[in-house]
Amino acid sequence: MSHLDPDLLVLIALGEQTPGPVEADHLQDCAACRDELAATREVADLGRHTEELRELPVPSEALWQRIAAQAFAPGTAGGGARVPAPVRPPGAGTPAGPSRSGGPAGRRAGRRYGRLWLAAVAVAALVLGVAGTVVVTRLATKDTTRVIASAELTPATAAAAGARGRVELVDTGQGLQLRLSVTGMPTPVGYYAVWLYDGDKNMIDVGSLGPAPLNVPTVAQDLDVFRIVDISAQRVGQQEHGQSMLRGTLTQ
Amino acid sequence: MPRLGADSDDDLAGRFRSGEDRALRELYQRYGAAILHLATAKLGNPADAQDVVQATFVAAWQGRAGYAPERGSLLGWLLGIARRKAVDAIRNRARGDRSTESVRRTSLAEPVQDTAADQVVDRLVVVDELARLPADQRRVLELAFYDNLTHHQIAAVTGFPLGTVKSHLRRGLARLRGRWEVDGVASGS
Repeated sequence: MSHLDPDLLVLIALGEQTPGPVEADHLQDCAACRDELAATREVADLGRHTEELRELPVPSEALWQRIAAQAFAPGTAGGGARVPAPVRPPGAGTPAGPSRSGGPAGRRAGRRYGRLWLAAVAVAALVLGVAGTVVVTRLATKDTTRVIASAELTPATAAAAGARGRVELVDTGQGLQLRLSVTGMPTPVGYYAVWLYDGDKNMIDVGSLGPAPLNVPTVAQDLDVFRIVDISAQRVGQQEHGQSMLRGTLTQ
Repeated sequence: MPRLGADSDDDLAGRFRSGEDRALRELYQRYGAAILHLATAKLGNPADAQDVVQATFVAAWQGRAGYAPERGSLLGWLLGIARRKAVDAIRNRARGDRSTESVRRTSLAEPVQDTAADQVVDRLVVVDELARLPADQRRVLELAFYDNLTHHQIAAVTGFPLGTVKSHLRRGLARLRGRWEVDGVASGS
């Protein structure tokens, strides 16, 4: 007979069917089908033992700090290959010196400087036209995308007890974005929304939780004010902030 | 693991190989849990396992030029490094350090046998590929694997025609097998 029907072979490998007399005879004689069945069985068996591997505990931030300290240490084989610093526009003045880089004032100055530079890029793009835009965009995504703040997200309610997440505030060179990764969230009744919160009265809806990065509205870009990232469960049609699920505070 | 906000492996591999710091961070976020799981399975105690994770990512960063995408995935490559680092750690532990602390820690949980740890590698590779399958294929396989449903039951649960269920099972398993043959232990990674 011809080889085993591939669909039947899969069902046999999964243990759902047993080979009939004809199939058994064929398997006896045909090494190719025997090997195919054995390999498919093994993969199916591996697959059956993966359920608990889907939500593995995320290793700690402290462990990452150890890795980064060793990998990026200056003077080692691993160090040296750093992310290139942003290209400085002509006439933007001297960048913030070491004495200004420490405190909050220094950080604010740094951000102002960053915005000046972004404005310069935008103007350059307008002046150069379409071809210029392509070049500037590539420069921006390759050289200046950087994480300016991040936060670990922890459960804000018992309903999210098994959930964890991380958010990074990223300067893309064309605006700020939130990039989120979340594990262990319960299936939502409606959907999950992402908010920036000033800890007081103002919450700004940044978008819905999903695979795409979220653009941060200009009004929420002041890190000294909107430092709290909140993921809420929203009912369909609910305009106001719903039930907080995960929360974290951005640090630079 | 979910891949919210993740780039494709190809994109990450390119940025990693060109030495972008952030790519190492992303690699750690994406695969740190899998490497820690393998290291814990091999070493038995959390402190040694974390040391192996650290050694793995540092070695990966230092040897990033040696990663060849055509020979396997980033995860498969990292798992290969982690297995070697775990073997080094076990040798070091056996060789010299007989301090009370080390003996005590070791006796807390014996490292699993190598064959069992190899199976951990294979399962990590398979579950990573499972997460990359088209959603319908993945759903059908999860119902077969985890809920032990027959293809008739899967058709009833999903509303897919029987033929579709069978073809999802066949194609999905073929994808898992292909990845396993490239990145699994038998490949010598």
